[in-house]
Amino acid sequence: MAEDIALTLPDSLRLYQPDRLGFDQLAQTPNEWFVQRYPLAYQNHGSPFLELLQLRDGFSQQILSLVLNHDFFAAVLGGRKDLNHHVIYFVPEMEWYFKDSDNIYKTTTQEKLQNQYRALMMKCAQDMPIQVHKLNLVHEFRSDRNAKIILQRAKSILAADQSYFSATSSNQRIRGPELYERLMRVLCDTMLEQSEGGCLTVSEAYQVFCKLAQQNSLDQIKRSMFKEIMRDLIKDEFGVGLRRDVLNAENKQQEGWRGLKLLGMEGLVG
Amino acid sequence: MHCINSRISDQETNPFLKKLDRLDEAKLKYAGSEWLLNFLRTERCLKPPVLTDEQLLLWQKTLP
Repeated sequence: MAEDIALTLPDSLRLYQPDRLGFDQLAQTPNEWFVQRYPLAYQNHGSPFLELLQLRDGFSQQILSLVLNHDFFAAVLGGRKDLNHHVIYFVPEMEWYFKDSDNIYKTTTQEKLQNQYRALMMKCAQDMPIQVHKLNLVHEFRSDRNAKIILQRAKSILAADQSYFSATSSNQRIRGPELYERLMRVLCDTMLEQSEGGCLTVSEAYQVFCKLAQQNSLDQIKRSMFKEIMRDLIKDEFGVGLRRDVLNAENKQQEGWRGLKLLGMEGLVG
Repeated sequence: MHCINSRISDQETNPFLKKLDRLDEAKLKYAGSEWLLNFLRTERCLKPPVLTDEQLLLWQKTLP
């Protein structure tokens, strides 16, 4: 149908026209409705729909959304920037994450994203005035076929790599191996101090770390894994290497660091 | 007429009315934000607590 109209009525076809819309105006077309809410998606991927304008009775026009721009709607799933929303597809784990209102990224599913897409399309249809033909908005564009195509496109448009949730990134998620390294960095930054004659054994540091992990509702990790990451962090931050001749409280030689001491133990529970 | 004019001028200058306007705007925006986020949340996602009026205004200030 769209191809027939493109051939017979090319002058009646419209993409979104930026000059008409003020930000305080109510959207009169589906294109306006979506661009008002997702201006960045429009900047990057163009008009949400190809619309057909038809004269109804000599005085008024009827607007029919004819063709859907799948790329625009894939970008829409990325979230509204003005509401601080953000959705990514985390490629290393093939998982969808959204930024919740506590600023922590949580996992979601592609079915839930499809639900959101369909709800947006329906809300747009409900907000439209009488001269907008709503059949495609309510039926065709909300079909499983279209929702699946959009989700597939969104995987590349919203793709994020390993660095997105790295231990030094400002983006934090609810679960992930990098959370342990983040906590170890906190331990290094706030609870360790260089001190001449000071000693810190791996066991002492691990004990403190386990309490910190418990406070932050994280599961424990193996001591060997802790030692491996901590060794590199302390080397980077304090320039001190791990050695095997550090004396503990019972005067036994242990693995640990010389010239470091623990601070701020009072804040830890248990 | 005088009454209407003074009311309009009150709305522009009265800090209490201004705060109510900002609060209404924040409530509307927050409701829209939660409407969208609720589609993505799963049962095991802890839902953030309901915000007080002051927290709502603060939340609005954090938006880009």
